[in-house]
Amino acid sequence: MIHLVKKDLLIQRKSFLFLLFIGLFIFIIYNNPMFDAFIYIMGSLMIVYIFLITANSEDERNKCDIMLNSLPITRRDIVLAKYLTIPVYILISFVGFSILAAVFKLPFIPITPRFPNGIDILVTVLMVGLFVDIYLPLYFRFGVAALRLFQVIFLLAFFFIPNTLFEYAMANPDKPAVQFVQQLFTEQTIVVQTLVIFGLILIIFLISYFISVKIYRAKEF
Amino acid sequence: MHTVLEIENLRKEYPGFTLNNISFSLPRGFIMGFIGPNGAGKSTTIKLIMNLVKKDGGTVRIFGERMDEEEIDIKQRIGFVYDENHYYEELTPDGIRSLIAPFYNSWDNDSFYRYLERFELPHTKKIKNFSRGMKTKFSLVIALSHEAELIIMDEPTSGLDPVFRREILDILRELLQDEQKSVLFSTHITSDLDRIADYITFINEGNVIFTDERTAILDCYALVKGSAELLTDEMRREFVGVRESEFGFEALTEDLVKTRRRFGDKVVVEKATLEDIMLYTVKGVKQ
Repeated sequence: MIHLVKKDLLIQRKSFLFLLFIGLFIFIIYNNPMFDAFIYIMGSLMIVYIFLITANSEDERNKCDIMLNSLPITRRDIVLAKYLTIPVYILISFVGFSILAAVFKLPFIPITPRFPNGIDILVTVLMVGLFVDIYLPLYFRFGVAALRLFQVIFLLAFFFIPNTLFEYAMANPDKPAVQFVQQLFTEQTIVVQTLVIFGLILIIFLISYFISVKIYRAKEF
Repeated sequence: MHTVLEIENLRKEYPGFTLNNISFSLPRGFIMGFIGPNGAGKSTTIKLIMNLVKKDGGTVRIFGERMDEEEIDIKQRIGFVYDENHYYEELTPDGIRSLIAPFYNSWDNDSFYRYLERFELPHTKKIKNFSRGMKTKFSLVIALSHEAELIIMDEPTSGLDPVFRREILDILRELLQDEQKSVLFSTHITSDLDRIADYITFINEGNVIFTDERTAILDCYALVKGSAELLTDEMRREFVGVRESEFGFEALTEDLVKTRRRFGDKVVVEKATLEDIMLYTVKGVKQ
């Protein structure tokens, strides 16, 4: 498994250059108080996106599924490894940005970005988690072209789901689910809120992972 | 004699094509040529053996174990060479070695570099800059570096120039000095097999036409040439295939004794090549 994760890093050494570019980009372009809270979240999202798409494109361009499935590994391993690359990409982005932020602390550099904090990491994990959980089953089904499909789904979801959920909550204030969400955000501590949100992310991840395994096991090369 | 590969009633249905319950087996230490025209079902069979596509019926046993039960252990002992490169083109052989080696328990770096040198492949050049022949040789290097006991090759010589083809075939023949290794070699270029194959399995339109030792097959079939008036409708039916012209006929027989008895010295009988056998079987009677 770990070798498959390592493989996705080895096939895209050039992507590490993006760490530098995106680091400089977020520090310089978003160097104002309005964006300060989001720079690492946005930067990390971009890094995960670039690394994941590059690895998948390389796999598809070389038709590597045939090679990978001829090696002594299971299809489940191949799917799980893809999911496991995501925390690695997040880690790479935060370590990279932290090093860059440390360099920016040098006295002769006029911009002094803050270091990433726990909230940056939590929100990034949350957002990347949602992206990956929707994107990867589509990728295993449709290949790299899944990205276009994802964009359509994402846009539709972005415009319709919050509105629909809000209207549902307004119309049905007595439903247990609505009350649960209301209580969660008004009466619970931030720790409980975080735990519940991550619990939901974990459930969505498990559903996404099992769907991906099912899709990939049925695939023919 | 141990059987390395045993295919029994293997079936796969696609719209417009069915691999129709095929069976054959390969003993340890031999090369089997798996021949047939394009679209006969060779690649489908190989993909079924490697579990790249799902079978609709039958069993694949390798090293005595069922592929669907012991896939990982079996794949540890299989080397594969496909008709095109599936390794990352942006990487060098060294880079690919570092990706692939950890998956195999018996990976041997010394063998890897020895074969690279033996096949004259530069280990610092990117795969995308390799010629087609070099890519095929590189796939073979990977297959040989983890002590594979069965090497499965799907059309490894297609698209190669005669020099590279000969080189690949010489390498295979040399390999088979080691009697533990077996090779399943699919090709539509039957002359590839004239020098190296011990067994031949011929497949056409999803059916196995024959599977036997090469020498037995070549002894059984023969080309018959004679003048047109010798050919009766009955004979036309008995031949595997006939080509007729205004000067005479040329036909393939699978029963040489019967043909000799019938025609005596009135016809010329020549040894059939695998290409003749494939051509007449596929094309049948042709005016």
